[in-house]
Amino acid sequence: MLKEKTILLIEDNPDDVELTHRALKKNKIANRVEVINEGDKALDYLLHRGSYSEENHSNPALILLDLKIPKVDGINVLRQIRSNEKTQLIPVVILTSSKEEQDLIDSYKLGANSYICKPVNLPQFVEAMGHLGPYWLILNEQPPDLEGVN
Amino acid sequence: MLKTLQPILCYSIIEKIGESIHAEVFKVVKKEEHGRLLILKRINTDIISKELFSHIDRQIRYLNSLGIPKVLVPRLHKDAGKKILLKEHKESLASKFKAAELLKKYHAERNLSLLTEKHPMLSPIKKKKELMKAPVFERLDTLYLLNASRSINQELELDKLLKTIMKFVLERLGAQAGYLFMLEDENLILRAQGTKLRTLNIELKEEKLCDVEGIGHAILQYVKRTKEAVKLGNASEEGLFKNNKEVLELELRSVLCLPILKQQNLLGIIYLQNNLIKSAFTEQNVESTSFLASQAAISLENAILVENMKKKEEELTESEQRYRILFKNVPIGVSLTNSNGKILDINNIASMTLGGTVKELEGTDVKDYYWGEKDRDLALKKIKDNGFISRYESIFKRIDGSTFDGRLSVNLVQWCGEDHFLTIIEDITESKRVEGELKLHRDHLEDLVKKRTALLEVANRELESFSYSVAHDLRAPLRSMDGFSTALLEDYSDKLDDQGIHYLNRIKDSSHRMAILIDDLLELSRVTRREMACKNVDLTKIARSIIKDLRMNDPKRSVEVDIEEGLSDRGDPILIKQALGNLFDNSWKFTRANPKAKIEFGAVRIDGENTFYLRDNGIGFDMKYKDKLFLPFQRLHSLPEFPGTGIGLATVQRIINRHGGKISGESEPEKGATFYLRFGSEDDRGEFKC
Repeated sequence: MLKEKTILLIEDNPDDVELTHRALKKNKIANRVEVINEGDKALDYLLHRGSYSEENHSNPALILLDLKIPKVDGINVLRQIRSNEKTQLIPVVILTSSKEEQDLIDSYKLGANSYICKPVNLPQFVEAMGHLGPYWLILNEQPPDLEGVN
Repeated sequence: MLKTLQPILCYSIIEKIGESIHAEVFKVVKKEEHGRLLILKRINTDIISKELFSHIDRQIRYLNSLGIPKVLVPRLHKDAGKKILLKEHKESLASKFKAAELLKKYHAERNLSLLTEKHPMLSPIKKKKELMKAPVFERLDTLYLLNASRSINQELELDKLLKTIMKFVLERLGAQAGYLFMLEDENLILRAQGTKLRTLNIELKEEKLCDVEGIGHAILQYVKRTKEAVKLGNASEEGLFKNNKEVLELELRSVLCLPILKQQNLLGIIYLQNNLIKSAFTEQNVESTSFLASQAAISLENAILVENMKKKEEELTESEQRYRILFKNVPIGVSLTNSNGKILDINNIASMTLGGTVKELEGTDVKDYYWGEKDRDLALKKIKDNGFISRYESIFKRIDGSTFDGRLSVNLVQWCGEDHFLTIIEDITESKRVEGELKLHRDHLEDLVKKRTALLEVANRELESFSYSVAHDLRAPLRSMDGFSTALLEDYSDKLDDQGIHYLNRIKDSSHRMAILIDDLLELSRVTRREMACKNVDLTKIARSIIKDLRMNDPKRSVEVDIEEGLSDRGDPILIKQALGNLFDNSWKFTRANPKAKIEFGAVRIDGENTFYLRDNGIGFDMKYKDKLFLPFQRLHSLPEFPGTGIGLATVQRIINRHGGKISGESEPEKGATFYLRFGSEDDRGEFKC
């Protein structure tokens, strides 16, 4: 069965969520986008825990992760994604306003696949998404869904 | 000895001396033994043979057997010149008489008696003359000498002895004046002087020979050298010193000069003089004075010994006193104890330290003044093992049982063949207290520093998290403003008129501008927070790469750039690059209106410090605003003309400050600007870890 390639957007700012939707749409990326606004909820979703324990969904094809989110922050979400073997192979792109060097270093150290600084200029953001989306969703060979293996 | 000489030499010797002593002696000899005269004559004419030598030798030996004292030889030599009556004595007997007469004349008594023993017929002549008075004289003399000798022997004090000797010597002699010299360190020193006019007057003196006037120095020197007595009947006319200038000037007549000898060691000289009478001193005088001199020698030696001993004793007492004063008054507590710890001697300070008087403490056991047994045993063990203990700090007890913080140093010394301990004790209670207080202050200060550092760390962390929030949260609304404005423009432009589109663009521009402001502010705060890592930085290289970037981003501009070779300094390379980047940015920006734009970067020495400068021919600024130049958000030009946030130079100054350096700018409107900067002097850098 061909699985749907879902994008998981972990972002708490509704404006940013909307703008991201727009940027994806502008780039004709029509994949389903699952939006979760808290770190721990995102982990529950990915690991089928808590309120998501009954849900039967496969791993997203791509995770867009904001660093500054409530409860468990982005860096810790990334750490847990990478430390769990069910999720460790999912491509994660960091989408953040932070230009702090330390965030960049931490992200890459923990195995982020890409790091995009959200520009204030929307067209720039749209352009960035235009490069990023097709690459990770179409060109990139998806890792096997380990859940199915188990 | 003559045998070994060359004939000719011998001949000439004999020739030479023929006129003097030998002539005389030979004549004496030859007239005794007839045949020898011929031989002497042949010496003058014939070649000298071996036989002749042995003959001369025999003559010499004969001469010696006559015993003419060597001391008289020089006088014979002189007398010979006169060719005294010898020539007339042709008979051997007569010559013997003459010999006897000569011997008598020169007071060679022993030889005379030898001669008269051999030829008894010579003696009656002598005896006849002295027969009558001799016994009485000798008896008197003996008594006198005995008396004198006893007096001299009894006297042990040097000064009195000198006087006594002088007195006895002068009393019986026909001398006007007498001088007693002592030999001290090879110099003759006049110690006693006597004059005899109507009465006898004796004074003690202390004068060097050269300072003594009215005497024949040469005579004294002669006696000193030869250690032989000199008796002159008429010094200025006959004898050894008749040609001596001083003797002639003083018209010295009777002089008797005798060495005081002890086993051939010269102790001193007695010098007697009479300028009124010739031959004032008889042979008898010489003998009796010689006897006194020999007695004096023993006594003088004893007296000198006694005097030296006294002197040493005085020196010893003086030195003992000196050290006692030193010991008593040295401004530190000192004591001397025996090997059992008994205090033998203790000074004032030490007794004060132990809270008692010297008397109370002397004889007590030093071990009683330790407070703790453990400390005491440890100290005693150290002293026993090493022979000393240095600055040992412990608690000690005073005589009344009260305690004090003390510092002890002990040295093992040998005295009278036994171990003794030299102890220094100090009361350090006060310095301990001060030390404690100091430590308290130091600890407090350290605490304070720790607390402040912690506070500073907290503040820094807060600042960091604040910056982080700013970075994230301030940008988000801007993104919304820009994003939705853009969305409006893209999706609804057909429903908006030009004015509406204009307003939306204004919103977009403002949000972009605010984004830049935030970025610059964050940059400024990052500059302050960044940990510095200093090394040598190639400024020329950095400047070139900055210009390369500027040219690349703005290829239409034509700017002449002059960067000096080999510029370098110590600093944090990233911060320095940022500072120079901002400065070059400004120059690049503000020269835009000048078609012949020029930017120079070089180094000069200002106040002995390496200073770099960046000069441009841009629009410059008015010096009356120079105070605002480095303040954040201060802009000296309008936004549309020269866009910017006003944070660039503030950032540069902050970087320079972090290096402990200095920056200043000078300019005139329309004439360009020059910025001078240095990254801290050698002294400042320590503080900034550069």
